[in-house]
Amino acid sequence: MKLRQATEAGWEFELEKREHHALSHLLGLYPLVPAGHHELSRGEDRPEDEALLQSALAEQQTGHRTRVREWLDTPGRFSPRKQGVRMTVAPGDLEWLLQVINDVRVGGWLALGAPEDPAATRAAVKPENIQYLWAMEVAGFFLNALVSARAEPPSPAADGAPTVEPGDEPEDDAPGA
Amino acid sequence: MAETATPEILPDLEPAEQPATTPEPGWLVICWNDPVNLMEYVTHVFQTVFGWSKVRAERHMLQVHHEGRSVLVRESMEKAEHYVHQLQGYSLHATMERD
Repeated sequence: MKLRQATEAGWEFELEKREHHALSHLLGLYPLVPAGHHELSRGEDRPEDEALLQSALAEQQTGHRTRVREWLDTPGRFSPRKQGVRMTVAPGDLEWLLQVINDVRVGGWLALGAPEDPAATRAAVKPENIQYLWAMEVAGFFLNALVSARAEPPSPAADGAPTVEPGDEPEDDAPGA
Repeated sequence: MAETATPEILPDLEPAEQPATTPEPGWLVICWNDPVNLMEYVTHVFQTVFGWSKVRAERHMLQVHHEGRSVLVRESMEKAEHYVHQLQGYSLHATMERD
């Protein structure tokens, strides 16, 4: 996954086809952090406030789940190219996308038993839970790419004559391309 | 916190975290270390939630990483709850504790 350009309108990435499949599958795993995982305070017993926190987080999860489906299905979100896929991320989508992907990373880690280091992680992995290791690693990959892109200053506005590099052409049968 | 890269630590050139004229806050918002959240991601979250510069956000991120926790802000109960909700929405391990 490579950042192609950052503009005021958002970010455009180039993904290999396998990265596109991995991202779609990863987002489909959301949410993975179990309800009730977070605590408001370690030292205070405040059941009413804890309940409010859980309610707020559950509401956020419901909203994000709907938004993930809509985001993935948005026409033009993923434009097939001859080599890979082009993906657009609007500025308003970046933060919740980071939250969703990191939920999958943290949830995968919890599902592995919250191992403290790589050796413990390797020891925790079994055939029945290896998908959580995959989720953690792949989520980390996309998080790094998105956070790095966030730090990129917008490039100058396009002059209306976009360059087409080899392999960058739209697929002949690509919808909307 | 999962290691990625260690940024250079620059001198703290920013104002203190709370002005001396804030009498009532009595709650600390604390971020705790874990081995799963990526360092760049945590820095990004601190910048986004608190509007901090990258230098300041990295300083707190490194404190979490090396010392196991960092007190991010000292606030009223209501504001502390708000920040904890925000941080947990990003799946960081954050709590509020009485000062």
